[in-house]
Amino acid sequence: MTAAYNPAELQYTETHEWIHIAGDLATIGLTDFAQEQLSDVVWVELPEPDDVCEAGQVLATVESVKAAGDVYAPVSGTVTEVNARLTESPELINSVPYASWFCRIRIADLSDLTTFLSLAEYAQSTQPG
Amino acid sequence: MTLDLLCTPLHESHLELGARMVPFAGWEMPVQYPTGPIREHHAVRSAVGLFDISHMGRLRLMGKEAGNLLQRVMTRNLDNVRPGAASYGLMTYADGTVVDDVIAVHCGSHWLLVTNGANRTKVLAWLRAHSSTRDVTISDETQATAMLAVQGPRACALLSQVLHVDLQATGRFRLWEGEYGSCPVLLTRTGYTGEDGFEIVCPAEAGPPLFHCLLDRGMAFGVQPCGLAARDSLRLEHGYPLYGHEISSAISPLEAGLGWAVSFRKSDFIGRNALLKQKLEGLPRKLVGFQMVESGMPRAQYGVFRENVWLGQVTSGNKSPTLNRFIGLALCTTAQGPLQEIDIDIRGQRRRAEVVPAPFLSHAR
Repeated sequence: MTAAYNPAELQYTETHEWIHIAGDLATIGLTDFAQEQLSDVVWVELPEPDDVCEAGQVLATVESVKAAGDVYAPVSGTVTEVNARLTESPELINSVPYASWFCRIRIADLSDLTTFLSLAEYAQSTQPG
Repeated sequence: MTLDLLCTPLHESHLELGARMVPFAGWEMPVQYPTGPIREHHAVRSAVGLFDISHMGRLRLMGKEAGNLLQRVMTRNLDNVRPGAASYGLMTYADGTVVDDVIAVHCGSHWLLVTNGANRTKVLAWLRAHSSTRDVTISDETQATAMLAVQGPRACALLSQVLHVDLQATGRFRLWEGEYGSCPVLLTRTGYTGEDGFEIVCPAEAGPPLFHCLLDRGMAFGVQPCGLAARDSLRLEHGYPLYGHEISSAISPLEAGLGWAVSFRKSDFIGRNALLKQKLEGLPRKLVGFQMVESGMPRAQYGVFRENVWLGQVTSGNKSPTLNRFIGLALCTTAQGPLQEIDIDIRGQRRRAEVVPAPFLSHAR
């Protein structure tokens, strides 16, 4: 299992993805807040390597006992790797959300990134009211 | 207009346990506890689970003709239901579709009718509309009482200890009346999980102490408080119908595979003619069980196809925690003959599934 990313070093979207960017490689996951809202995850549909994705488009789908949720691509680019362990053990998304990366994306244009949220900003955005 | 949700007598207890509360059937109910629905599910299959089911309707029917009224509105023959016994059955409209599925408990001096939470007021109105000339008094005791379900292979041992009585002799669909502390409790050996277990009605104020006593004493039995999500996955593994899904005011009990609960030999009941006609002419639709061959989460209202021919729709679907497979029930046309291979339209993608018998869990498991 991949070691968990440190939430303080990640960036976030308002749609509850976390992003780790190293060079032109973005690693995507779902936040602890999101997994808790979803309840027990029982199925995940991942993209495939070499899939081209566009920021804001559906990248993956997560099915919990409660609901289906879409995971959106935070960046445009090409999928280089997917975490097949999630297909076998989708419950990892609940137990270790910051180790449960969905896929890595080679970012097409580093000058064309949207502004993401910091941990503090994201935490603020998930406060009730 | 705002509709205030009703709270069960156990509301505070759920919050203390960290439950996630959701609106359900007009009540605020626990959908899950921090443990999560899958582990709650396993606890019921392997040990014992404790459910607050106080949202279910509890109607008391008194008077000489209480039994006759039930016999008139229910599909099941209640003539053989003696005092101390209970029976599952359906109430149907004249067109054979379903008002509600209920459990009728013969308490000797009166009957207790347990309805779905969402159907309580509808059933009450239905009973009153059909009892105008009868010697029967119907009272709604739902909010004055609490109702718990204790379900699982260790339910009987736990409850026997808590109530200081040997419940092993109480048969399936039999009633036991006694006391908890100084409060009267009514138990039936019934449930909605497919496991052995009991459903308990007690005065509202006795609900929280009984609930906490079952949790405390239950620790030695591996007890787990369980929410609506586990209740749903448990009932689906056994193919039990859920009102609004497998049965409704648009689906007949015969279509839902509940013919065993419809008696054409008993005295006339509302819906009999329509159901008899359906039985004789053949059913246009039938409920089938299926499991996914290609993985994917089937959910209610997803379309069912075979070679691009629309067959019907999914009524309930889930990942079975026991089988670790995606399973579901679907209401499908009978025009295509017996079904074996079907496709489920999962969010725009056709996924293969095979028709299998429900209940999905074999008793030899």
